[in-house]
Amino acid sequence: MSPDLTDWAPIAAPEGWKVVVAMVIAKGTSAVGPGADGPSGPVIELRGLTKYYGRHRGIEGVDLSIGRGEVFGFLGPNGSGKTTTIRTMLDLIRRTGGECRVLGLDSEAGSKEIRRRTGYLPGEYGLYETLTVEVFLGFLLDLRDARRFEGRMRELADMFELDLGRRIRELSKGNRQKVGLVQAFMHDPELVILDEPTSGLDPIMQQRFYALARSECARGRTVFMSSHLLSEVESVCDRVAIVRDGRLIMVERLDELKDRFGKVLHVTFESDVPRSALEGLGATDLRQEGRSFIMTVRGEIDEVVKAVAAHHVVSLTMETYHLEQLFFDLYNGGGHDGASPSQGARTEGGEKR
Amino acid sequence: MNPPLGMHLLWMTLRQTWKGLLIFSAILVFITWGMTLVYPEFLEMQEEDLSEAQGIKLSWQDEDKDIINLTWHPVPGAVNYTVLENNQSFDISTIIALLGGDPANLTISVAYVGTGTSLVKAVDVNQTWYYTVLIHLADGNMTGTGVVTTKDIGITIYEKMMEDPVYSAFSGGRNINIFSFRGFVDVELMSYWALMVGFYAAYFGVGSVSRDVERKTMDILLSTPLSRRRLLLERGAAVALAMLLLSVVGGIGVLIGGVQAGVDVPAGDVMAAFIGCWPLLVAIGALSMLLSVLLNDQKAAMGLSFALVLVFYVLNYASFLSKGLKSLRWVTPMGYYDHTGLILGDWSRWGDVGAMLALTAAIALLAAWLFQRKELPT
Repeated sequence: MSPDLTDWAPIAAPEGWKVVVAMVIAKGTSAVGPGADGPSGPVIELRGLTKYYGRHRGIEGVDLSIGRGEVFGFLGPNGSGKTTTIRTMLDLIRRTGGECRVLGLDSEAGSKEIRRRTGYLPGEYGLYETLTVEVFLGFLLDLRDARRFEGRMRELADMFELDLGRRIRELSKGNRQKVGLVQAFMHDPELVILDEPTSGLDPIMQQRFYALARSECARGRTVFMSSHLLSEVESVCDRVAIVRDGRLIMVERLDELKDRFGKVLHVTFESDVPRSALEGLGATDLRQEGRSFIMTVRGEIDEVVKAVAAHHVVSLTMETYHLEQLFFDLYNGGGHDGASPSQGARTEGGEKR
Repeated sequence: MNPPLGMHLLWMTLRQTWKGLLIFSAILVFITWGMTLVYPEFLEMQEEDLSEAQGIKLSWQDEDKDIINLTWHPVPGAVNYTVLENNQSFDISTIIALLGGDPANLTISVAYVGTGTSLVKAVDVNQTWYYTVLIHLADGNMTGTGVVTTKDIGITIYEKMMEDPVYSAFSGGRNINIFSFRGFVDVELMSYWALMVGFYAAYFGVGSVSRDVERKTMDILLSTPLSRRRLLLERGAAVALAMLLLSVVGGIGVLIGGVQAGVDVPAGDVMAAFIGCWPLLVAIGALSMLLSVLLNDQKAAMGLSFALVLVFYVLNYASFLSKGLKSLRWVTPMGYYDHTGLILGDWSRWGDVGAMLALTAAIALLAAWLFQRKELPT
C-alpha cells in the first residue's frame, strides 16, 4: 500500500506543532517490509556482541533485545561503546564476535534490507554543504527510491521549523541537526537509530523531537537512541541500557530506574532550619551546609516539598541524576553494600545476570 | 527527474564537482589553444642558425673551416669589448672563476680587447671553441653577449634537436618533425598531457571516496540501501565522464587554435590523440580510488596517487632514452598511450585500449572487494 500524502490539506493548527505531529503519524503508511505489521520477534537482538579494534576493545558481550514500538535509550559516557554498537548494527563496522540481528536479519548478510527499513542519525556527520536542504534530502530519498515520501519530508521539516530552501552551509548547528533528524525519519522507517539526537537542539525543538519519537512508537515504530544525558532519556524512553567501558552494565525500565535513583534536591533557607525538620520524609543522603541542604528524593516528592515550604525558601533546585552521578552510585554509592554493576545488570525479564 | 539507470549518486557527484571540473577544463583549453596559436611563430625558428646567440654571431671565414669570423652588435655607451675564448664551454665554474674566484681554475683566454665589433682568428680545428663578449660600459658596469660555439655553425635548431635522445623520447621514439603541425602538437602538448591530466584524474579518483570520509558524509550515505559496490561504480562512472570531458576539451582547444593560426588542422587525428588518453586516465582514476579505499589516511592516498602518476610518466619517458630501458614501457600504464602514433594517424593500437580497460576492470574489482570488507572510519 502506498501512502497518499498529497491529498492532505494543512489546517490551522490551534495546538501548533502537535497537530502536525499527529498528521505525520496519521498519514504515514510505512516503508515497512514483509511481516512488519505483525509482532514478529524483537526488532533488535544482540547476543554477546563483541567488537575489537585491533587489540582495543570497543564493546564486549553485549546482550540486548528490543521489541517493536519501544523508545529505547542507550546511555553511556563518551567512549563507552554506544557508537560502536550502533555502527555494528548498521554494518558500517564488522563485529568481532557474537550475534547481531536487526529487524530479524543478520546485520551483515541482511545489511541492505536493514538499511532500507531503518533510519539513522549518526553522532557525528557531515552534510553536502553546497546543496539546499531540500535538494540534499531529496537526494537521500532518491537513494532510497522513496520519493513518494516527499510530503512526509516536508511535514517533518515544518514540524522542526526547518527552511528547506536554505543552503546547508548557512545552517546553524541546531538546524543541521534538524536536517539529520528529518532524513532519519522521512522515509517512515520501521526502526530509527539515533546517535545523540538532540545534540545542538534548543529546548523547544528537543520537546518536538521527543513528541515525534513517542508518536512514532505509538504507531509501532521503534526508536533506538543513544545519549549521555539521563534527563533526555527520561523524557522519552521506555527502557534504558547503560553501557560503560564497552560492557552493558544495566538494562532497566525507566520508571524503575527513576525510583531507584531519584532526584537531587538543593534548597537554601533564609534562616536556620533544624536538620530534623527534613529528616524522615523519604529523602536520603541528607547533607547540610549552613542554611543549605542537599538530599536525594526517591518516589513521591510531595511530602518533602511541603516540609520545605513550611520555611522561608531562598532558592530551590531539583536535578535529575546526571549520568556521572548514576555511575558513581552504581559503582560506589547506595550505602556500603553499594549497587555493583552486576547487581544493577538485569535482562529484559528482570532477572539478574 | 530520474537520471539514466537510476544513477543518482553519479549525477550528485557531477553536480558537486562541476565547478572544479569547469575551471580545470578552462585551464586545459587555455593551454592547448594558446600553445597552438604559437605555432606560426615557432615555424620561423625552423631555419634559425644556432651559431647566432644574443648579440653575437659566429661563422667560418673560409671553406677549410679553420678561421672563424666573430661579429657582435655594438652597444651604446660601450668603452671596449673583451672577447673570451675557451675550449671547455662557459660552464658555471668557469663563470665563477672569472668573477673573482680561484685564478688557477681560469681556463679561458682573452682573444681580443678593443673597441671593434668583429674578430677574425685562426683556430685549432680539432677542438670545439666557445666565444662570448664582455662589454665594458662608460658607467663602470659590465654586460655580456650570449655564448656561441664552432660546433653549431650551420646547424639549425631542428637538426640539433634531432640529435637529442630527450626530444626523441618526448615524441615516443619516432623523431616526428616538430615543425610539422602534428609534430608540434605532439611534442609541445601531448608529451606532457597524460601527466597533467593524470594528476587531475588522481585527485578526482581519490576524492571520490575520501571526500565523503573526510566530510563525514559517508555514514549517512551508506545508511541508505546504496551498496558499497554501487557507490564505487557510480563514483567511478563520474571519474570516467569527467576524464572524457577533459580529453575532448583539450582537443577542441587545439582545433580552435590551429584554425586561428591558419593551419590545415588534421582534426580527426588530433582528437584521436586526445581522446586516446581517456582509457589511461580512467585507469589512473580507478587506481586512485583503490588507494583511497585501501588507506584510511586520505592525504597519504592523495600523495601516493600523485607520486604514482609521476613515476608512470618518468618510467615511460625513460623507456625511450635507451634500448635497455625499453621494457619499462610494458610496466607503466603511460606506455599504453601512443600519442605520437595517434596524431600521425595510426589508430591501430586497440591493444593499448584493451590493456587499459582490463587494468581498470581489475582495479575496480579489487577496490569493490576491499571496500566491501572495509571498516568505515568515524
